[in-house]
This record gives sequence, C-alpha cells and structure tokens, in this order.
Amino acid sequence: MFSKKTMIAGAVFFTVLLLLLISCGGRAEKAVVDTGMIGRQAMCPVTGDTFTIHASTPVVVYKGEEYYMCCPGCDLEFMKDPDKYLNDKKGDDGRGQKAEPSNEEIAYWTCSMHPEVRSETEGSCPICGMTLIPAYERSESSDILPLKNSAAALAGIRTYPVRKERLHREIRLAGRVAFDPELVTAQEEYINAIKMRDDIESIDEISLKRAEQLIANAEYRLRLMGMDEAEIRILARSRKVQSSLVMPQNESWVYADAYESDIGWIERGQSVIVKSAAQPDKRFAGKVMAVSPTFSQGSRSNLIRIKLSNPEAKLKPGMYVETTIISPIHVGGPRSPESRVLAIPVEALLDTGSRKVVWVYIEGRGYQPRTVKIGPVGYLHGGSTEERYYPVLEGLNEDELVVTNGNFLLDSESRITGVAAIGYGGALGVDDQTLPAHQH
Amino acid sequence: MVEKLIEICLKNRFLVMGAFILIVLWGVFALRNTPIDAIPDIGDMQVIVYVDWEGRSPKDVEDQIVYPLTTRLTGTPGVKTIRSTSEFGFGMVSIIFEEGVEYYWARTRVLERLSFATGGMPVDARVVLGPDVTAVGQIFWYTVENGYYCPDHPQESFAGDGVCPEDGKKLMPSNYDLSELRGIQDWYVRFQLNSVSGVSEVASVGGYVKQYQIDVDPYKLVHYHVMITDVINAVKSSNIDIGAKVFTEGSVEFIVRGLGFIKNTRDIENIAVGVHESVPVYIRDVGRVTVGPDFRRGALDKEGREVTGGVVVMRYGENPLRVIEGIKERIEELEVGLPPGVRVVPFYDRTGLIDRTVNTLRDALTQEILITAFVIIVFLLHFFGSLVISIVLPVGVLISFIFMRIFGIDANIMSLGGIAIAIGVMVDSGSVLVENIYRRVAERQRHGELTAVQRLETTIEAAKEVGRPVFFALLTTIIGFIPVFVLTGQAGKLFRPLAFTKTFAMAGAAFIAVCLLPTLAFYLVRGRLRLPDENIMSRLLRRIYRPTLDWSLNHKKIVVAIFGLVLVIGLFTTLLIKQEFMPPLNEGDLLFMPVLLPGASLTQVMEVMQKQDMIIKNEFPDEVEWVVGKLGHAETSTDPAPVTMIETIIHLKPQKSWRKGMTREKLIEEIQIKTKIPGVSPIMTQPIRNRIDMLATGIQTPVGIKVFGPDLGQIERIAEELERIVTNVEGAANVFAERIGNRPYYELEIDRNRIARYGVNLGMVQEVIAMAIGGMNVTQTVEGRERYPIRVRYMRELRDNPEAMNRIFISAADGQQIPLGILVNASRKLGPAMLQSENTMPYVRVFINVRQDIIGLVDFVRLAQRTVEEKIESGELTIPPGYYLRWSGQFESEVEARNRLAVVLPICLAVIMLLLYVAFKDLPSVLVVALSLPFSLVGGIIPLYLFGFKFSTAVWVGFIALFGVATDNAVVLLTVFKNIFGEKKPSDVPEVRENVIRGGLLRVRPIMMTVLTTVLALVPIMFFTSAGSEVIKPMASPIIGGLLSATFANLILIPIVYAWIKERQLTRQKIQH
Repeated sequence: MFSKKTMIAGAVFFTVLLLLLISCGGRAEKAVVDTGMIGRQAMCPVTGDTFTIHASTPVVVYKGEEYYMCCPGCDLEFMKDPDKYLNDKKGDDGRGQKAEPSNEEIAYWTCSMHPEVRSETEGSCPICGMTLIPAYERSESSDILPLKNSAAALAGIRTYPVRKERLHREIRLAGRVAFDPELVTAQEEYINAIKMRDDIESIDEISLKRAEQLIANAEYRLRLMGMDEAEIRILARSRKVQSSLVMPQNESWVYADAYESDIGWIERGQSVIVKSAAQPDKRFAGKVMAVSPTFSQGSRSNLIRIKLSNPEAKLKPGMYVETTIISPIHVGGPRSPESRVLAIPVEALLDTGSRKVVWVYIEGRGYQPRTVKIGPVGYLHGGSTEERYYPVLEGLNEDELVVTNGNFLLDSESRITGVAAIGYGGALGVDDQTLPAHQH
Repeated sequence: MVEKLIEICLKNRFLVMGAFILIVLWGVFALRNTPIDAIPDIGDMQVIVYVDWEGRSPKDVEDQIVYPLTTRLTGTPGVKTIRSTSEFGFGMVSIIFEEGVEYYWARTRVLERLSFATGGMPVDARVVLGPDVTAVGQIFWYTVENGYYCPDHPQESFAGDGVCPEDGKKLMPSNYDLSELRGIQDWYVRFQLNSVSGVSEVASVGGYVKQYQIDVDPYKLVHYHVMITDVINAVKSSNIDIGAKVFTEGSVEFIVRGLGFIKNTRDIENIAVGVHESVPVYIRDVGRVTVGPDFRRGALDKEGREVTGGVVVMRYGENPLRVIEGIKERIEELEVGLPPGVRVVPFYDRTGLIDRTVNTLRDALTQEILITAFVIIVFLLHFFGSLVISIVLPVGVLISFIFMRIFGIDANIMSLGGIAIAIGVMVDSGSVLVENIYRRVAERQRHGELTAVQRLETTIEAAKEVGRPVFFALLTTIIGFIPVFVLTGQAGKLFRPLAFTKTFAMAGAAFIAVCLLPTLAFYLVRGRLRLPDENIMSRLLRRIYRPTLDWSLNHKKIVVAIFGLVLVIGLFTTLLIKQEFMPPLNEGDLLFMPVLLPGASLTQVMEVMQKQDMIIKNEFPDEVEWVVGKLGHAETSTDPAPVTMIETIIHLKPQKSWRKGMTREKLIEEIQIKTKIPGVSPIMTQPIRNRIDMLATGIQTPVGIKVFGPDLGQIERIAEELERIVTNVEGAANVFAERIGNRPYYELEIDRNRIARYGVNLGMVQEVIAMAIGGMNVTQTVEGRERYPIRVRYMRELRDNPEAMNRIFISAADGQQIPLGILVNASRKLGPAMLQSENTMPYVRVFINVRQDIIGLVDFVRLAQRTVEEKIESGELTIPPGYYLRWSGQFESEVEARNRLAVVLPICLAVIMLLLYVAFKDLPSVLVVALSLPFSLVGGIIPLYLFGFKFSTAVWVGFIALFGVATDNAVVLLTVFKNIFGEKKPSDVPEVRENVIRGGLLRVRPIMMTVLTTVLALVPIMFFTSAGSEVIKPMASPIIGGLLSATFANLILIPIVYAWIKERQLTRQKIQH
C-alpha cells in the first residue's frame, strides 16, 4: 500500500518534471553555449554558413534543440520566425548541424606546474593538488605548435624577420686623455735618428749602420711605449711628433686599458666613441691607432692608443674618459669579406645553457622551435644601445619570422601539450630521455 | 537508574524547570560566542618557521639556512615530522605536530628551539616563527586604490567619476602612484588594521616599495679609485641621529641631538665616499641617486589596472565574523585620514560565505524543527503534547552548543551538519516517552478526570516504562557512531567534529527527554485526550497496515522473494556509483589560478594576469562583480606562492542576474576558454580550499615513494629508475617521478687559481657579485613614521646581462681593477626551482596511482615493495650508501584507519549485539533485528544513484548514522512481540499470525512517527542549493532512503520472519508431543 502511494507521488513528480522540460521547447529563447560544443563546426540556420562554435556564439533554444548562430543579430532574426529558417533547409533534418567531433583527442592529463605528471584519467596533481589539464593527441606528429590568431594575440606574440645586419660589439674601457711627454720625447729621438741617417752620406757604411741601429733602438722604445708598427711607419714618413700627446690641439690622444678578455676584439682602425664627464652631452669620435704590443704586468691590461678629434680642445690631458670601442662582428672570422650576419634580437633566444632555442612562425601552420648556434651578442650598426642582437650561425634562414615576445609562453605550451616530447624538450624543459614513456 | 532519575525529576519539578531555564540561557550564550567559520581547517597541525633571504637561490637558502635550521629543530617535543622547502628568496620549515598537541604549547616549543637554532646563520637572512595562524586564516583581502574626491569635501572618496553629492561640483580623480599607495598601505592602513582584536598579521602585496637607489657606475669607481664597499660604508655611516644627553642653561635643561638622518636624494648625493687627488669624491660623482621601486616578488591587479593592497590574517581560534566586523569598523574610521580620493576596497571577504553557510544550516534546522513538530501534531493530534516533544529540538541544539564551547569545537558546515542530521532522531526518545504518557493518561482518563496526584503517578509510571528502552536506543545510536570518531587524517579532521556535535545533540535530547519532558508532560498533557483508536491518523495507518500484513503473512515466499530481489538490485547499483574523497564545498567566490612554468619573469606573468583579468571583467558583465589578481606572494608566511603563480579572486554577482542557462560549472569553463593563453594553464579552484592545499605537504596520491639522499642528482636518478620499475607492477597506473631541475640559473663559478694569480680573495669577489649585481639595502631613511630602504647597486645596463656582468670590476691586492669575466667561469644551467626535505634529508617523490579495482592498496604496496627489493638485489637498481626509500602516501592513513576499524568495528558490533541480547535474551531475536541492516543499506544506495552522488566519506558517515537508528524500530517491534507472545501463548498458526498482527498494529503509529519525523525533516535539505548544502546532502540521502527501506523491512519482513520462527517452533512442539 505504501509503495503504491510512493509510486503515485513519484509518478506525479516525474510527470511535472517532464512537463517542465517539454514546456521549454515551445518558444525560441537565448541560451548559453554548451561548453562541449565549443570548437565544433555548425551551420548557421539564418545565413547557412558553416563556422566554428566558440564560447560567445549566440545560441537559441527552440523546441528543445539548440541552434548556433554565426553572428550576433542572426539570433534576433531567427527568434522572430524560427520555423521560416528551419523549413528553408530541406534535406537536413531541420536543425543546425551539430557536426564532426573535434579531431583533437585527449591523449593524457597533465599538470601545468609539473608537466612530468601524466595521468590517464582526470583528477588532481599529486604534487600540488591542482586540477589536471588535458593534453591533446595531435593528428600530425610534428614539432609545430598550432595556435589560433586569437590565442597568439592573447599571448602577446610579436615576431621579427631575421635579416642580415651589420653587428658590432661595444667594448667599454676606462681611459684617460693622454699626457705622455715621454712618448713625445721618444718620438723626437726617433725622428732625429731618421733625420741623422738621412744626413749621412751613403758611402759611410759604418755611420749608416750606427744610424740604423739608433733608429732601430728608438723604434723599439716607441713600440714598448705602445705604438704599433703602422703608426711608427706613419711617424717615419711624416716626421712629426704627436704633440697632442702633451698639449691638446685639434686632436687628442686617449689611452685606454684593455683587459685580456677584450684584446682579441680590438684592432687598429676600429672606431671609438669617447665620453667625458667634462662634456657629458658630447661624444667624441676617434679611432684605434695602436694596440700596444706589450701587456702591462702592473695593471694587468693592454694599452690601446686612440686618436680622436678634439676641435675645441675640451678634452684636456689627464682627464678621465669613458671609451667605447666599436668592434664589428664577422661570422667567417674577422677578415671575412661578408660583414653582414643574420641577426636576431636577444629576446628571441631562450638559452638555458643546455639548449639555445628560437621559436619561428611558419605561416599557416604555427610555431616551430629551432635549436640555433649563435655568436657573441652585439649591437645593430647605427641602432640603439638598448637593443641587443645575437648573430645566428646556424639554424635560421633569412626572412624567417622569429618570435620576440611570448616565446616563453610558447615554450611552456609545448611542454605542457607534449609537442616538446617530439625531438625537443623545450628550452627550459627536462631532457628528452628523462621524459616518461608515453603511456596508454 | 534511569527510572530513579525520572522519578526524582518529576518530584522536583520547579527545580528542573529552573535548571532548564539556566541551561537555555547558557546555551544562548554559547551559541553567540562560538567561533563560526564556513569550512573546518583540515590541514595538518603545523608551526611554520619562515626564512627570508632576499635574492638568494633555492640552493643557497637550503644549504645555508634551511638545512642547518631543520637539523637543530629535530627533536622538538611532540613533533611528527619536519618538512621544509627552499625557494627563491625564501624558505619554509613546516614542523608538523602530533594530533592533539596544544597549538600555543607547540609554538612555544619551536620558539625555544629557535632561540639557539639561528646561531651562525648569515646575518642578512631573517628567520622568524610564522604568525599564529592556520591555512584558513586569510579572511579579508583589500586593495588600496585611487578614486575620486571633491576638492571642497576631501573627507569622502568615491569609486567612480561624477559630481559631489553636497555641492554638485565635478569630482577630481586622485593620482597617487603605486609606491605612494604602497606607502599608505604599509605605514598607515596596515598597522591600523593589525591592531584590530583577533588579527594576527596584515601583509602587504602589490605596488612598489619606495626605495632610494644609488646606481653606481663602475667606470667612475675606477677613475676615482673608489671601491663599491667604500660607497656602502659611506652611506651606512652617513645616516644617523644621535642623542647627547643634556646641557643646562640657568635652570633649563636642553636635550642635545646630533641630526644626520638622510631625508632625500640630495642628502645621499652629497655623501663623500673618498678623496681623489685632494678633491672629495661624492656619491653623485660615481653614480646616480633616484627614487625607484624595490625588488618585488608580488603584484596585485584589479581588472587590468595595477593596484596595491593587503591581506588580513586572523589569529588561530578566533571568530572570523567578529574579526571581519572589527576590520570593517576600523577601515571606516581610518578612511577619514586617507589622502583625498584614496580608498580601501575589500575584494575578498569571508563573511558572505559564512553568512550563507550559516543561513543554509539555520534554514535547514528551522525547517526540520517545524516539519518534525508538524508530523508530531498530525500523529498525536494534541497541540500541547506535540509542543512538549518539539521543545527537545531547540533545547537539544542549545545543549550541543554548550558542549561545543566546552570542547572547543567551532561552528562550521560540518559540525552544524552533525546537528542537522541528528534532528529527526533527536525527537525519537521524546516522542516515545510522551506518546506513552499520553496513552497511559488517556487510558486512565476514560474512567473520569484525574486528580493531580493521580496524574503524577500515571506520568511517573508511564515514563519509567519506556525510560530504559529510550536510554538503550540512545546507547546504540552513540555506539554505532563511534567508528566516525576513529577516522584519521583529513577525513578525521572533517568528520570528528560532526560526530561530536551529533553525539552531543543526541545526548542532550535524551537528557531532556528523561528529565524535562515528563515534567512538561505532567503540566501540559491534559484535557481531552484521544485513545489511539480514536485518532484518525492511527486508524488510517491500521486500516492500511492490517490487510498488508495479513496478506504478507499468507504469502511469505513471494514477499521474501521481492525483498531478496530488492537487495540484489541495490547491491548492483553500488557498482554504478563513483567514489570521491569529499564533495567539494561551494565557496561562492572563485579562485582562478593560472600558472606559468618555472622561470617566467614577473613582467611576463604580469602581462598574462592583466589580460586575463580584463577579459574576465569585460566578457562576463552579468556574472562577475569584480576581479582582482595577485601574482607571487604577499609578505606573509601563509602565502608561499612563487612569482609564476597567479591567484585571481573572481567575485560573482548573485545568481539571479546571470545570463539564462548559466551555471557555475559553465561559467568556470567559459572563463577558462576565454582566458586561454598558450603556456598558461587555467586552473579554477576556490579560495579556502586552495589555502589548505598550498600549505599541505607530503604525498597526495594513494601510494608514493620518497627517495632520500644527500645528492639531488642521485635521488632524481633513483626516482626515475623507480618510476620505470613500478610502472610494470600489476595495478600501477600513472607512475611519475618528480623532476626538480627546471629553473634557469646563471652561475658564476669562481676560478680559485685565477683569483690567486690576480691577488683577489674569494670573499671579495662574492661581495662584489652580491652588491654590484644583486644590490643591497644598506640602510633606511627615517621620514616621520615611514621608513624606506637605500640601496646600492651597479647601473642597470652595466649589470643586467652576462656581457655587462663580465665587466664588473674587482679590486686586486695591488689596487688594480680586474673584470669579473676573467675571474669566473659563467654558465647558464638548469637547477631546482624548489628544494624540499623531510627530517633534514632532501627527497624526491615518486607518485603512484593504483587501479584499486584490480588490486587493494595494501597488497599493491607489498607487491611493489617486493619488486623493488628484487631489483636492488639483482643489481638493476643501485642505491648508494646514504640513500634510502620510504613508502608513503594515503595508503598509510588507510592502513591506520583499517587497523583502527579492525578493532573498533567488531567491538562496536559486539557491544550492540550484546545490548540487543541483554534486551531479548535470545539469539534468534537479535538476528531478526539485524535483518533491517542490509535493507537500510540498499535503501540508502538507491537515492545516491538517483541524485548522482558519489561514494564519499560524507556518504559513509551518513550510512553509519543510519545504522544507528535503523535497528531501533525493529527493537521496539520485537519487544512488543515478545510481550504479546509472553502474555498469550499461541496454540496454532492462525493464532501466531494474529499475535504478530496485534503487535504490529500496536507499534505502527510510533514507528511511523519516528521514521517520518526523521525522513521528512531531512527531505527539504535535499532541495537546498545554497552554500554548504553540497556536503549535507550526500550525508542526508542515505539516511532518508535507508530509513524508508528499513521501515518496510521492519513493518513487513520482520513480522513475517518472526511469525515463521514461531510457527516452526509450534510445529516442532507438536511433533515432539
């Protein structure tokens, strides 16, 4: 008896529920996208276009069916007279197509903080307790990370075309405006010695030899004092002492101390920018005239002699100056005829020591990680000192688009979704071998 | 004993009434003063020691501070384990105490140890005992932000643009920058809020701390022959005020002061650092002095706009509602003193959730009480009688509050839920008692009105009659619930309070039933009383029950078959129900927790956070009220988040304003989809839940292996090998070893030969590295109440890349400046983002999920252990000396729970059986009573399936509560049968059946009454959707279903079986004769 009563009550309850459900179908009403549908294809009943459902796609519920609209406005149009649009489409069963399932299938679940966690089932991360996120199986087994434009925009991805550029290093050295009467004296001695030799008649072989000896000695002294051969030759020809070494004239000399690690990059003829606290706004342009052949034990440095124009004699001997030597970067060695190299901004490179990775945008397909070989960091010729560039030795081609912003996100994404597992562990990722075997 | 008590109470009625009024007053007091929170703290009982060492790598923090600290903290009394983590710039030592240790006692023990444990630590590291708070202590978050103000009435600030309400003038926006806002927060708001009673700590987050920055140009240092240490020493010694006692002039004393505090950038610029060629060298000659932001590891963002703010952390054991109330009052007070336009705006406030939860439970309790009272009225048809029974409920609830206060149990969803599921059962003893008094009085009244003395006699007699069964039923209910008390771990923390409150409520109710109800019944059960035969309800019940039972007695086989079928179906349904640990509690606010991989820069994370916050705010105008995101950590030890972790609090609008068809689940999914940024995982959780998870340590999978050992590389290797080995063990699913090395490091390894060659000592190199690259806060300014750091560091462009770092100069012994690049080997490396250790030993964890449908947890562990041991023996896995493995995980607590239950469950069952045996004194009756158990189980499972609940601990607790009451009615029924069969021995089968029917009819009213009070009282709960209902519902549903099915079994199956036993006895007797 009781069971009968309960049964009746239950039946009434379910009937009411059923009626409620059915009653929903009478009018066309706006609704919210069923999240399971996002990413699928649907046909708009108003325009007949096929499109991809996204979270803000307008949805209208009519007679218990959901219809997806391609654009806002369609929904209003549809709601005016739903049957009109539904009957238009013959051959179809009269409703918006709820079509093919997504071709991406969930391969496993992983944790965003601990990508080494791979679970066959949904759940939470054993390490941190966070909810696991799905990683999708990709139809093509490739290292390319596909990304929708909207996602790329959200990630703030910016690209930069790889071009051949002139790059240079800037070597900052502490320097001083030369006050070097000793060198002037030595130069005078040298010139005198040359003059003396010239005065000697050619028959007097012994005096000639002695004069030659004097010249050689003077030359030797000059070289010890930091002049190099080319400079000495000029001196021999011009027979003029570098008097600006003592008194500034239109030009000045600057002595800078280069450390061992810099010497390889400094050569005669490289241009130099000199700044002084006395003239904070002015930049004096100069040239490396000589790299001293000797290395100073006392200062652990190598003397670089720089000549610069000093029109108003603002730089006075003895002043401290800051010198920056511009040393061009050549890929095929310093003497290489090709002075331009492929250059990428430093932001483009993800370097953790074990790997140097650049993300490249491939039109229409997505983003691909490349392992590259790079040279020493430098500056763009004529560019700002804020922007630094790496010369690329291997791994990139001209005109490819490298990602300069958002590449960390791409790298993370690849590690989370498993793209990284394909021949590449992510720049900041774990080594390939240590990735757990793909479990099914 | 019970009888005596009843008699004493009835004879001292005024005393009893007075005592109860006092109890009610006490209960009201307890109710008002019990701390109320939404969710119980299920975290470990732990004391946290926090290590702050700015700018240091996890390795340094671990080696130089955390490890020595843990070694000295081991051996603290009452400690279970010490776990520690070292991260970038800070470390945490969690000292986990045994359960039951008193919190402040534990803190004192740690403090004792700390007093000597910190000796010999680096001076610039700060080791402190964390505040006296728990994971759930973060009750209030606020922002300090710009707003609008009227220049003529600057006291009031407005959120939006507009006109002044007083004179209609256009409002002006306030334009304080982030460091100024942070200054207001740090030096004004923070201390004011910290002084509110119950607040343990207020921590700042976001914005910038103002800092005086001396950016030194190393080339100029070279020029002037000054070293960076000179600069630091000069600054340090140029910032001091001095007192020099007094001098007296005439009869007046003058206090002498030497003034020398740095007040502005010019003061710093004019500090002389040395003399170069007889000319003083000032700071301004060698560098640049500016005001800028201090290094930061946290930021706050409100809908795409950076703000600053703070978090209020409540002291352990305080009442959050009261504390928040105090905070809000204080904010109102201090707002007057804020600069015009600046506002303090809350963005997370626990009160809403607490109020909602408490409202849910209050509604549930009131509805339950009303429904119960209504059911009683219907069955008794006597207003005052029903009133007497119903009074058990409020007074019982109050008594349980008194007990909660005595035992220190907070009011929250679980403890109040315990009372909620007890309500229907609470009235049982009362209704049995009052019903009996009522019946007795009514019977005697048939022969005319009773005198007061006669009524008293009748009442005493009637009450005594059922006193013992009432006491007995209470005992079984309480004993039945004992298994809940032995739950351990998180389940124990959740459900023990519930078990306590339920027991308190039951005991309170029984106590009232025995002491107060007879007295009240004496006064109120009078006038026209109906005998059961005259009562419409009883007549209806009998009219239905009699033919049903009659038919069943004649068709025993069919009925038994039907019951058997139901049993089988129910057991099959069990297989369809999934399992979960705990139904998640809806906290209202969402915590969106996007996380980037280790290594992401603060700027990158900030960019992600601002974009996402803007999207959430703009795309969900109907659902979202406000969004405030936090990255990194607030300056409190309760927030150990790395910079790569964003925690965004999404405060939702009331559900009625949402778009049509929108649900919480859909909203979460949509937010996750719309804010999807590559490389960022959109995790959605809830604020309190997340706090508890963040501070929890250990292994959260069923099984785990911890590999201990001194060398990180080695333990990582062993863990990876274990991963491979265990994957092949039968039943293992998803085995993974933790990887720790994945954060980029730039390591400068000093070449000892080279520094010796150049005459530099290592300490100097390190000092320069620290100061030039990392910078150092050397002293702080004193500006009124505010203090700001002064920092010395190289100019940014001269230290922020490897190239520049190579050119940092170190002074050699002979005064020469050597560039760093020559002295060190620099390399980029991957290193640990975080280091962890347990009881001083570093470890890496291997996580193992087990397919428990294939193999039991404990068996799996045994099998896996043997496999690993075999591999070690065969040499496939080498574990060097000093390394060891420990198996751990949730299976431990399962083993513990199993061990405890293995003892407790049989004892409980045995005690119940013993009690039943004492009551019936024969075994068949006990077995017949036990029949109702399987049916209550089946009945409980079916609603679970219908409502879509999973098997969780909550459900099991529901079942345990059910078993306690399921047998009660069977006992009552059997008692009656025994009495009837004792009075009149049946001689043939029809007589047996007649006896059974008679007994059934006698008891059908009270049985239906107790069942319906319990069931109907819980029914409205099943339709609740408000906060907290998601935990109560799964607990209530087995009780509803199980009690209904048990009642069918009791009313139909038990009489049949009893009759069958008696008939068998009868036939056997006849054969013997």
